[in-house]
Amino acid sequence: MSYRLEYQYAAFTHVMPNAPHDLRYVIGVEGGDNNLYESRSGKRVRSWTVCMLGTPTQVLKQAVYFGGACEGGGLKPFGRDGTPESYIRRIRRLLSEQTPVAQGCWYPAVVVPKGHALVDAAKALGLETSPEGLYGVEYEHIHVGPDQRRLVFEFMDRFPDLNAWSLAKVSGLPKS
Amino acid sequence: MKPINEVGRVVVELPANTTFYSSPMYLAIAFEAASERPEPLLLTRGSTKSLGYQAAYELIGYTLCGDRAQRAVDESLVVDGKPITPEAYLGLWRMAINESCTPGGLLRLHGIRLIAQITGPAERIPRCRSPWTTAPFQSLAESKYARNLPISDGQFALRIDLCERDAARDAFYISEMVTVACRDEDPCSAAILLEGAAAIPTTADLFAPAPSLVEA
Repeated sequence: MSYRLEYQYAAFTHVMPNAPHDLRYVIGVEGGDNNLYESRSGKRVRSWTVCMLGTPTQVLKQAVYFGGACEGGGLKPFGRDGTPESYIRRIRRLLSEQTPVAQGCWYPAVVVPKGHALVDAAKALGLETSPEGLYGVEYEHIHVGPDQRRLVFEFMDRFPDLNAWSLAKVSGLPKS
Repeated sequence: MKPINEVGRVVVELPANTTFYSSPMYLAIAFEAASERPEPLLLTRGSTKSLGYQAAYELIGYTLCGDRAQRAVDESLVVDGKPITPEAYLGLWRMAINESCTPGGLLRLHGIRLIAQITGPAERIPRCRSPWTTAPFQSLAESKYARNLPISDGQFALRIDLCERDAARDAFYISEMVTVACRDEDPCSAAILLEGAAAIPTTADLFAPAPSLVEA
């Protein structure tokens, strides 16, 4: 059975407008499956994804959820067996160290299943939406500009069922 | 909202032959503070058609990390009235797994009897056949449980005391047979019931004087 490897982690911070103590995080993770290889280089396929996003509490809850996969061997940070506890501690350290990311950025990229309550909420805010299809499933792309980043966190606050990768993407981070 | 206050926990280990996985399975019980006495709560993954036996990695990785350990982060779950990190919370459950008891031990030490209750339409009984070659009997009708099976309003309701020999195994295979025999719309279910007044697990005070010394 396949498992996910994680190779690199990066934490971006975002201060919410008019609330200097309200710090939010975007956690990018470079990862990929153990049994997928690039045809030319023979290297395992990997890519950067936004895996966790929000307040420190929201991020740690997501870390607990994902860290659970370490217990059964479904997730191996750095290709090694681990425990949910060590995964949670890794993310906790990432949040506390707040090391500036030397290269790369994050940006809003909101794509949710068609009919999700966020679609109506976004339209009520005057945001444009457009349909998207992926692997036979219908989604709605909600157009959030780079100057409206706070909306990504407000969406996470209001709709905690959404995955972080449905709300944001990262770009320009170094490949391992 | 008031946080869940977990005041104890106990894990019951079921024998390695309980399922076709040939490894121990577990039932996890959390004790939550309530108005009169702590309430025992069986931790499951929520299916109404499965008895909820879990491997240790499922208990830690899915059941706890999927719910209660996350609640520890925002203190919507506390332990003995105090906040706890999710890492420490998982550590408590790992200790409980290491110190697990049998169903008989649970009854003896904590006053809780585990009953597997399996229900389904009586008309499906002839179709209750095992999909697994490892089953100790190939159909419900062939098993000892078919004798005097309580039937009411077209539904059978089988209760198996997990303290009995091979009970956990038999309950597992019968619940599998019923799942195979029933259609999606049939009213069938499988669950573990906790019966009896619970005494929450406590740790003895190592420094309490022995009764004989106090009397002297």
